[in-house]
Amino acid sequence: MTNRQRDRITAAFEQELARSPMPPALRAESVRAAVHQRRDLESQRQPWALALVAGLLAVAVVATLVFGARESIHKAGPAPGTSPPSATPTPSPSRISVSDSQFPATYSGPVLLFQIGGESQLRAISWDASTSGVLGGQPPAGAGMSAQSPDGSRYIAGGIVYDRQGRRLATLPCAGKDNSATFSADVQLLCKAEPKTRVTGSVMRLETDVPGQAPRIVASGFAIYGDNSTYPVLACDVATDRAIVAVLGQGVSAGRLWVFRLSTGAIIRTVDYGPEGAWVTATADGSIIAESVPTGNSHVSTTTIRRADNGVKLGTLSDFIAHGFSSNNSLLVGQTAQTTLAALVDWRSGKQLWSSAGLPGGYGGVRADPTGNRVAIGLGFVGGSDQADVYIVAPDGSAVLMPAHTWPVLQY
Amino acid sequence: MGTVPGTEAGLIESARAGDEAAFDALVGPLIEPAYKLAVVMLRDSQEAQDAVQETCFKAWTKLPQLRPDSPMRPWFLAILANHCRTVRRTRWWSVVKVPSIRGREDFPGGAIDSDLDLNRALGKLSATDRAALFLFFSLDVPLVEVARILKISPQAAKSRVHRAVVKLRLNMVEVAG
Repeated sequence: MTNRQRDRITAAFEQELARSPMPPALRAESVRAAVHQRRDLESQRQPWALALVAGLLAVAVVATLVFGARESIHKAGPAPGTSPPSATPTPSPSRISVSDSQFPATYSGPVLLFQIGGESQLRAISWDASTSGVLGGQPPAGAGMSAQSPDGSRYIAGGIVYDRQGRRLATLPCAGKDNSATFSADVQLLCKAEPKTRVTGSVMRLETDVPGQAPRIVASGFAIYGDNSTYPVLACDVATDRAIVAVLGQGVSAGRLWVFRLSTGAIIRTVDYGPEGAWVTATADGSIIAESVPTGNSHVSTTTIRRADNGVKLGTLSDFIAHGFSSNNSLLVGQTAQTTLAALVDWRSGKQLWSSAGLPGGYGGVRADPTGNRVAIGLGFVGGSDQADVYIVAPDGSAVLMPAHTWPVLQY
Repeated sequence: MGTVPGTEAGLIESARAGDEAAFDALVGPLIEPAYKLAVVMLRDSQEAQDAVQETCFKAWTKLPQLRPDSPMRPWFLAILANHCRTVRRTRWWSVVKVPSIRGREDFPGGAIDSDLDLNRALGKLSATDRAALFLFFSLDVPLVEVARILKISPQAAKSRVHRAVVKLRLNMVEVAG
């Protein structure tokens, strides 16, 4: 081996590496993430370790009180956040009335878009409910809204993307298939999981659409399409470079879930929930998922909150089916089987912040305020798509009850 | 016997006790070579970043398994190389990526044919061969340490480097150049 050969090999590697410079923040981020993740693990393990020690001591000291020792282990076991929500619902507020005036065009904050049963016009309301009105521009009559962006600045009706002023921005590349589209957190993309052809056996693709441009295929071949299944995109965020796709079988339980790197299509993690399936929801940034799995009795589920990337367990909630996170990922909306409550809980502490008695038709979906920490929670369907009760709930537990038969597009 | 604060052994002991600054002092200087090794093995910047983060996490959690008198670099890079091999093994079925189109800027106008040949030949080597060459030639890692990182014997490391050089057909390139 001559020095010239060594130099040429070194130069060839340097040329390759010049195309992939190291991000300056990688060192700090890697070290911080490593330490943080371990602390998360330790915080989960510690209560169990304490419970184990307590149990062993109890067995050693009072050998004859085996049942008592078991009881103490049982009591020491659950980590914070495992209590089921309280059975007492929060008192329901009076319904608010919304303005029939034109929604102010100067309002720039995030809004919840909605229709009222029997009307065709689109309305908007600010998340603190202080500003509401009818949108200045409206989609054609009969073109119902099928999706709204997280901030409400855009919506889709009849395969057309509109802005809040009713200006037509673009026709979706795949018009008519927009029901499964999810706006990215930054509103710039529509993320969809679509089969190559709508025939059972076709390969699934994860694609992103920018209105007015050809779709970009992020990943292909990660699943085989079944025409009795749906493939919702649970999260799509350019900033965190994550997308999460689930396959829902004939029911609404997820059979499988994929965590993707949005920029490259690389699969970071796959979860197989088996034949029983699981209710799964994800944070908008794709960093955390909540999995609700039946525990013996099929009516009662335990929810486990995990890091999406590696499955590290962050918390559990017993008798709770999770449906959606708040935008800062700290709060979880869900329902209980035993009490038919819908509830908003701080999943780390298990503290219940708000709850409501269920309505006929049950739980109807959730949408998170993208900049604050409020959530819109729908309860009860009356005659198909008319939402019976929609609450906008703040993290302090205060709630606003929208007019009857309010119909926003919620994530079910 | 105690360790001297500030030495690698002292830092390992402190990091094992949960000292984040000590862990940063130990691992920080290894992030760049680790990232480069990951790019060489995975040929994907994003996956390389993931690999480095995963390696940091494993290093932090497995630190109690590292003896204070053991050198940090081969241990850390061995975790990384092992992770990269796992990623490569699972990659073929997991996703079909849209092929990236390589532009002319990849090969500067002044590049000569022999350099193009070398780049192509380097691209055809296995990840482990590329890792062996990169560690030995670019990072100047001794063969004994290359062996520890790639979890092979020193003789196998020497043989792997030699065979990789032969595969690059450098002798022929030398003549052509």
